[in-house]
Amino acid sequence: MFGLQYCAQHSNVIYMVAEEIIASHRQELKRGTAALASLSLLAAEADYGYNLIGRLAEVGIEIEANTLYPLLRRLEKQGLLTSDWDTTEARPRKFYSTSEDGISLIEILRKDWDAMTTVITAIGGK
Amino acid sequence: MTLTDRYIAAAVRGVPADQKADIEADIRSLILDTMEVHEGEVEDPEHLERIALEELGDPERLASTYLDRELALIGPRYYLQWKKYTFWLLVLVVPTIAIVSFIATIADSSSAWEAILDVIATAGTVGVQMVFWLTFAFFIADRYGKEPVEKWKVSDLPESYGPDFSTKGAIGEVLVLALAAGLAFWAGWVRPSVTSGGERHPVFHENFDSWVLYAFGIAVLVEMIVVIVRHLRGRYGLLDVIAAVVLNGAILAIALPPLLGHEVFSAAWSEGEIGSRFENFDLGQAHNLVGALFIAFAIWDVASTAYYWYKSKR
Repeated sequence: MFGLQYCAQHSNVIYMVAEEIIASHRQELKRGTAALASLSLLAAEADYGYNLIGRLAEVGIEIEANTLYPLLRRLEKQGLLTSDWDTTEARPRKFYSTSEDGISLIEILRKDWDAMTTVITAIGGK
Repeated sequence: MTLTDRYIAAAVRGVPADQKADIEADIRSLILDTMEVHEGEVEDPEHLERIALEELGDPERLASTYLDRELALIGPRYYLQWKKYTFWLLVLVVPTIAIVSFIATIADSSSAWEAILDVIATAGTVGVQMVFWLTFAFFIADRYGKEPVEKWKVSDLPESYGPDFSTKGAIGEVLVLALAAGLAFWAGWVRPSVTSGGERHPVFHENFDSWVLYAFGIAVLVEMIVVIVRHLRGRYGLLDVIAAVVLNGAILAIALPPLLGHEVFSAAWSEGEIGSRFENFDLGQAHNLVGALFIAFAIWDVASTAYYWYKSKR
């Protein structure tokens, strides 16, 4: 809900959007970006799940392991990722990398993203 | 069997056979990776395993995320249709079965109460069975169906929601109540009779006091005032619910004792010339039936008033 809040810096009363509303809209905005971000990062460098969580966090995308691992598997089933078990370390790890189809999808989605950014910027609003 | 093995077994239990091995390997890797992240926090390996598994959460939920399967009996695709059919089945079929069952049962029952309990049991069983099988059918359709059963059309839009607060509606309601009250006062005052074979037969039983009809008429008049006030206010309130409970309670308290005592209608209805016109007519059953209708109406009136009040608050 919208609520009256006192803004000390400007010494006046302004309308502020409640934290939970911001959080829910942010979540809506971010929904779907995890797949595109994962595909993009894995196109740059093959990786395994937990390391990818760290790389996503570095670019500001927080995702939990129990969401990312199933997502990677789904992307692999769709043919957007390929995987290999790395057995050179103490225990085997599944490394994912973006396939040709995945790279094509990144290009399409990035164009959509740019178009959307342009539209939102053009609409403006206070 | 380790905790990890048990967790994986629980997760892949409902996974299709062709994906089981793949998902099992993936979840094992996920558990080991999660344990690795928490490695520095605890020394005991089993404690570490517990931390990792609790972080991953319910294995069935994890499996559903892998399979992209919704954790719901009926998902959003079919939910509205399920809701619509369930509502109409409960509203139309269950009361119909209750009435038919009451008529069929009352002949074999020793009292009206026994018949009412039988009807409640039958209607309840039918209602539960119908909802179960309908839900089951929609569950199957939701799991294996491709398209919604029917497409929404503009003609599906209801004319209006909730009670009718128009002037026409108010006048209609008040007229019906005024007529009912007038009829009750008239019947109490005149004590009507029917003529048959040159003889006059009283409609009412000799032990049936006119004050019952007067009291009933007054209760209906009070209901009329409640209706007028509600229409002027334009919405249902808590007072309407209280009034419905009190008035219906009063009407039942007035009407049920003579009805269940079979002392409302005179014996002329089942005896002599008039009685011979209605073959197999049982005056006791007729009293029970009217009593049951009074109870059904009271329940419906209180329930609908409470429902409209609840809706008006939202």
